[in-house]
Amino acid sequence: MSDVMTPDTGVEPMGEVTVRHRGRRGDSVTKVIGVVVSILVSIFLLVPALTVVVMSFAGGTQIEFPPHDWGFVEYHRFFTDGIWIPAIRQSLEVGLPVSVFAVLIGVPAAVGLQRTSLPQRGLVRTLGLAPLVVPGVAYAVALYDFFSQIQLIGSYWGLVLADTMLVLPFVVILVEAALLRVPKDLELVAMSLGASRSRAVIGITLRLIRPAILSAFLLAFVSNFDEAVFVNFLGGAGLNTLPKTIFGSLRTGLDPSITAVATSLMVISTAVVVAAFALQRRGQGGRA
Amino acid sequence: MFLVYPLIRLIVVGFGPPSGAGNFTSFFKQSVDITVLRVTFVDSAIVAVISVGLGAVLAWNIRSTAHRWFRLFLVAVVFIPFWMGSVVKLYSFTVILERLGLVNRVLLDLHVIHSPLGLIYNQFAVIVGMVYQLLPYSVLPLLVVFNTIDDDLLRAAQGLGASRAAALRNIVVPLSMPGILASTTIVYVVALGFFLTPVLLGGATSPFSASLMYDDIFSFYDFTSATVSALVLLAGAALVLLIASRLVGREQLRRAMG
Repeated sequence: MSDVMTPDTGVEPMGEVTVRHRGRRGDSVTKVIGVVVSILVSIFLLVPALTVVVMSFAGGTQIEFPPHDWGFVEYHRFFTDGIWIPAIRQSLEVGLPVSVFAVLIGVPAAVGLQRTSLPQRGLVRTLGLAPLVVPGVAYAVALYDFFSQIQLIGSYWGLVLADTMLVLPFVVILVEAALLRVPKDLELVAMSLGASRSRAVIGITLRLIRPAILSAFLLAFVSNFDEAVFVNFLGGAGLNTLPKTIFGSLRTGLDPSITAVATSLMVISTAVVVAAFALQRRGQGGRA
Repeated sequence: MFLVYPLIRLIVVGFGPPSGAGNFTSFFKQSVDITVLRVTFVDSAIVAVISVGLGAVLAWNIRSTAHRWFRLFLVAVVFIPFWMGSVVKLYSFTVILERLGLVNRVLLDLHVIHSPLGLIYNQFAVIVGMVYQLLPYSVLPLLVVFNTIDDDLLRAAQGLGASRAAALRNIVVPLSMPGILASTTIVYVVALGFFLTPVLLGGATSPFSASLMYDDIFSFYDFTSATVSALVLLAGAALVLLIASRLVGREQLRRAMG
């Protein structure tokens, strides 16, 4: 067939070649634009982080970027200033019970949601995820109204309660995802071998998703450690967690030791998140 | 229960004393409140559109780049805003956007401008800060959406003579439209609820609901006013979510929440 075509299509292939050529040039323009935009966005995402890290090693007395002198002045102040360490302790005191409660409530909730066949399941799940989409400030104001009604403003347990609710969705989502990978039959097998229902759930299912529970705990902790809105509204004057302290010092002026605090925290939270993901990964690998 | 009650309480206080539903009429009569509301809703919309627009380009590049390292780099970069503390990000932006901050210094040194630009304590700064924090929220769900699109479709289109741009426009965009709309909605609603960014980057007089509510409660001890603002904000968010779930379905929205 090509033998027949060749003689009279002397022009056609030429046309096709030019068309394709033009197409390709346009394509590379599209591609370059895409890559350039991505790189610009990446720079936009990178610069604030780099700024903080670089500034934390500034040695001068003035806040300037880039700094003229270098040193560990800010780190020294971080440890000796007398506000940061108590703030971190306060954050831990809130964050630990919050993560524990979130796991204690979230894991049974996830198991229940997974195993039930009730029609309200969708509704319950939507409600549980609601804190993610209710505009944060509006919700904080709502809680403020509620807490002032029952006199929980500035109360430690009140804040713990509110924060627990905020991180609960993370735990439920993570644990539910892990549960999906555990075959239901395993529990049935255990029960047919004489285990009670609770023993089957605890001994088989929960043990299998242990890595996911631990990583949910860590992520809940990290995200709560960063929580600055609720504590501002509900914390009163007494509860000064780290984000609230940073917020306060930002409102009154730029305290450069924030950069040292921030850099240290970034290193720590990276370590925690990496650990959480490694656990999650290992959990998956074990079952695969 | 613990979730719903505060919201009910919000309604009770909103319609309660001093003047019941009159609280709302007086709210809507005050031009300050209206301005604040408009700024909040409009700026959040701008933020949502920019975040999803840039996020889509980024997500598409992550999905389709042939270079492993470039992909890894982009993914790592997307997680940076999560990784920095919420308040710290804003501190960094203060330093960068300041009168003699990074941006102004660079522009001055390059002789692009002759006097420092007022980049901070205005709506511009708030929008930049919010886009920064919301980019991951748009990139990650869009990445999931884009990954479901078959490469062969694109190849087929290009094989039939479509340019790359045309293939993207006529295949990828329509196929991922529900996902794009869902992400925009989620980003929009989250942006509406931002508190730290408007307060810290918007400056003392920033015209955002969040600052207004905070001042109402802690400077003027005016619960009712803050409550009314919160209710209006909630209603707006609910309306947007409702429209979006009509358009793209609830399942799609839930997926966009990550």
